[in-house]
Amino acid sequence: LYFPQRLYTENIYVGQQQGSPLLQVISMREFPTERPYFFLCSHRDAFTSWFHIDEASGVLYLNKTLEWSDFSSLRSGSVRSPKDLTLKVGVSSTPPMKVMCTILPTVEVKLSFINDTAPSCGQVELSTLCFPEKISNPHITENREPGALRQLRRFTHMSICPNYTISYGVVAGSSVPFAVDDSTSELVVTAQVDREEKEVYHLDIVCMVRTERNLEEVFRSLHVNIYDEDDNSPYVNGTDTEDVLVEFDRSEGTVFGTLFVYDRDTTPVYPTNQVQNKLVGTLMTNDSWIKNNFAIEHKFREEKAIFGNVRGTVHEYKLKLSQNLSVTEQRSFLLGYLVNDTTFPGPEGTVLLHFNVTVLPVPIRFSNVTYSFTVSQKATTYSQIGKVCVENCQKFKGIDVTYQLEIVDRNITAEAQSCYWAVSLAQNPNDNTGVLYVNDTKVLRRPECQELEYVVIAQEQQNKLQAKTQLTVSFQGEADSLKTDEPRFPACAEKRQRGDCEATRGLGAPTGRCQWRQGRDKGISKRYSTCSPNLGTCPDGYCDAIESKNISICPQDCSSEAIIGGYERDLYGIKAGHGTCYCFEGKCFCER
Amino acid sequence: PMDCLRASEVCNQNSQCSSRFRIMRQCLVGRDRTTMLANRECQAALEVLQDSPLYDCRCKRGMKRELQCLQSYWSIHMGLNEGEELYETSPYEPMHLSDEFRLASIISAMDSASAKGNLCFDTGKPCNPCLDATKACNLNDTCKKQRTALLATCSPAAPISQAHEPCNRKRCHRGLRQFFDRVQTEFSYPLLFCSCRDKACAERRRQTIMPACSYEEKSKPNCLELRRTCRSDPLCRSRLADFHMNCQTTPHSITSCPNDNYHGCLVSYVGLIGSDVTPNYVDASHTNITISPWCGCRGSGNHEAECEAFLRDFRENTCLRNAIQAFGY
Amino acid sequence: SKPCSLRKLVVTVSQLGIAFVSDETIAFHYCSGECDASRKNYDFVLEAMKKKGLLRKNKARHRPCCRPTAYEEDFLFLDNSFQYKTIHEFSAKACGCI
Ligand SMILES: [Ca+2]
Ligand SMILES: [Ca+2]
Ligand SMILES: [Ca+2]
Ligand SMILES: [Ca+2]
Repeated sequence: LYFPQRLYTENIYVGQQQGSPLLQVISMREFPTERPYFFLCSHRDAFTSWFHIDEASGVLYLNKTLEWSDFSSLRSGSVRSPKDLTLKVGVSSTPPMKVMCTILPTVEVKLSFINDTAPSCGQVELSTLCFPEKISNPHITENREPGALRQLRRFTHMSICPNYTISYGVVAGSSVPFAVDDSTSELVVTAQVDREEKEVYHLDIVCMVRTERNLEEVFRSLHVNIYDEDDNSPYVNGTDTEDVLVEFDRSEGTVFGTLFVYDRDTTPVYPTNQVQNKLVGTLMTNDSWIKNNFAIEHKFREEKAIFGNVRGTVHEYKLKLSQNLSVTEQRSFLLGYLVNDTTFPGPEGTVLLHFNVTVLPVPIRFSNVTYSFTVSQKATTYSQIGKVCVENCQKFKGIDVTYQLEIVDRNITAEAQSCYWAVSLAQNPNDNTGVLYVNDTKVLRRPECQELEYVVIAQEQQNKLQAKTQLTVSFQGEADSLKTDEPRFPACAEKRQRGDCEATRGLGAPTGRCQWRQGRDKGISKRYSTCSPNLGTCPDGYCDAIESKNISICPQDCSSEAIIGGYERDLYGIKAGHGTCYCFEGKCFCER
Repeated sequence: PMDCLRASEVCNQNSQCSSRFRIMRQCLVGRDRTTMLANRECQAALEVLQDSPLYDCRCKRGMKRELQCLQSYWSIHMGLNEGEELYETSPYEPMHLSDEFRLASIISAMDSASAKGNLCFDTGKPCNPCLDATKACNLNDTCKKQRTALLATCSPAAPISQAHEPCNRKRCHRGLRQFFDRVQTEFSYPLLFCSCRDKACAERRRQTIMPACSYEEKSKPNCLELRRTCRSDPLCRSRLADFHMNCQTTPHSITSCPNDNYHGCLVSYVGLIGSDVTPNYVDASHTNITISPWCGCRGSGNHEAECEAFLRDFRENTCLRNAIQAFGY
Repeated sequence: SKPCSLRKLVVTVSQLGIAFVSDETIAFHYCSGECDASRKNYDFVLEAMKKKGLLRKNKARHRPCCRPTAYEEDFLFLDNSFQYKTIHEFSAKACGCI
């Protein structure tokens, strides 16, 4: 048994007679053999004794004639009329006992006690005789027994105009499974309904009042909501298999492939403990390696359009890496995933999904047989020479590679070895590359140091796999004859004018001269004007491995201090600036 | 009625009442209403308490120890109410008439502000009452200080200490509650309820509460779930009940507001800002005001009608809309 | 003329002239006024040195300046493209002769 309504409301008045009916609570059957027994649940309040309910019909009656003093005896939050009396009615399919109120279905009855006598026939409008002011919409559950769902007659208003005859009907364009039982004035559902076919029935109820003079009609609309139960099995639309290739991206949390499962029932997210139509999945494997490395990510959402404008559920399944996969790992397997609609009553509540997984190993090797870079003699300290990178290193995720620079021939004099100080390698943290830069400009001028040969060693961190390649750095052109013994190069970023900037021999400048970037935008712009050692790397919004070695190289990208003027800050450096931005040490200013 | 702090003091002076009150609070700790109601001892406690001053005590907005007062209130009323109902009784005292006089003064303040603001027609720019309200706030020490503090709290975390969070929502909510508690309504209400004739103004109005932090989220929770979260917190629960009581569209009044009290509706609306059901203007439309908390009704299962009713109380609330529109004129 | 003190000017954010475009109005506080009353021996000595030519081509000041000694807290506002922006240390909170 269940209540097709959450709340019953009615007005009660002073002077209403003992034994008069107030309203009828109706319950609906889940099984054809059930019969309801109604009972009052609340006994806390003193006013409960004013009422009793007919055990078989659910009609609520007055136990006493309501007096003016009854109204004033009520405790209530509000002083004004009406005062609300709340009762609870329970229903049971066996003769009830009071203790069952907490476990059986109950419904709330809210009676508004008005501090006045009932209106007389001349005072009331016909619509008041027919319908309560607030009409709440009923609901019925799909696949349940047909039967009465609401008493349309307003019992409390029947005696107001005793000479009128009131009857009801359902106005419906097309055939609907609803009708009015003329003998009882009950609204009845005449057949079982299917929510997946129609979720709401919009009915018009007509109330026909035959007065002394004529017949009048009053209309009220009523929406009957159909409640869902899990009576559809989940299904796939099209493919139940997804090919998955795991190669360069093998970091924990990466998701691959998507398979969809559909279910025409709704999956409620509220309340959270509701289990109806929630799908439970199982990985169909005993392989502990697969279980440790892969998991399934499940999400679901409600959709309407694809289910014929009735709410249904789309489930999304993705394969997800639970940890970083080693580069040496190589295998392929078919992974089954069993999805089970646990509340679906039949045996067909499951769907088997497949992920056809191929894990390829990632070789750690250099595609370049040799690297060869040419650097200007004029290059200043921290000038970037170039990048080294193993094959596909830009695509790597979850693979960690570090680089080292070594001298080819170790059996040389200390004097000759010192040449190799000219170049160093720094590790860019995020993109698996090594960056070469000018480390020592003094040795550059020595004739024997003009062509240097190194070996680059790349090492993958998890398995310590190594790769090697040759690297040649040659220095060309003429060294700056002026100020050759300059101890420290100035910072390009200090310069505020183009001419001054381009005449400066600044730190980290591969050509030996600072470069000017001319911005043209108004307001705060990413293209602000500024002086930089190398427009290819500074400013580019990223404080790289070389730049982070000395704040004076590119404070525009690396400053962590407050910036003055019009700007937008980034985690490090200036994201956007107003006019020209310049910096002293790590402190930057932007102005027009 | 007595305030609930006072009422619980009175109750504590009576040994029977205080012991029942203690039992009642224990009954509610589990938060499982049905088991609680089944418990005989809890039932008995509830019966005794119904005759105590705690039964119909109330709290005042902004009173000292407001939260404790609300906790006392709910420790009785959580037992009385059935939990899943649409509307609950507000623990706050009804608005007094004197408050409405204050509203009149705010409106007249707005009038004189907009009279001054009308000068903006001479500059050829469209008149922007929301901007006027900001000017007024910036030139008032308290308002400027509180607004600046609020904006700082609700801005994305300083990039230096960047976690992945764009901002701290909880702190922002606290900041919003503080802002509306501490700033005189003469300054705060015009920021929120300015009447707009163009998009620029309406966008400014929408941005008043820093919606990027306090309102929008990546996903929209289900409204009923949101309501349940709110009801597990005494302050949010009280503010929501108060909003429903004071802003419920009613056919029995000219203005559609309960007792034709616009001010009551606006005050209870502001009371929700900084709670789990923080409402806001959903867009920068100046012709059609739509207000909603950040939630939707997807996934409501068989409770969809109830969820939509909850949402309608914000999105299609004639009382609230009238109250906002009336404020600006 | 008046001694060094805090003065107020009501302007829009755009009028501040530092890139931010917003029609919000704020009070800009600045320091202005005489500082002669705060001269120290230092100022007289320096002046004398300069006159005697002991300090050549030197821009050292021998008069105290009226400058902010403290700044107002950060100011946050909504700019005309509806982004919230912050300005630090743009308005004086207290002035002094230094
Ligand atoms: Ca069905
Ligand atoms: Ca179904
Ligand atoms: Ca199903
Ligand atoms: Ca860079």
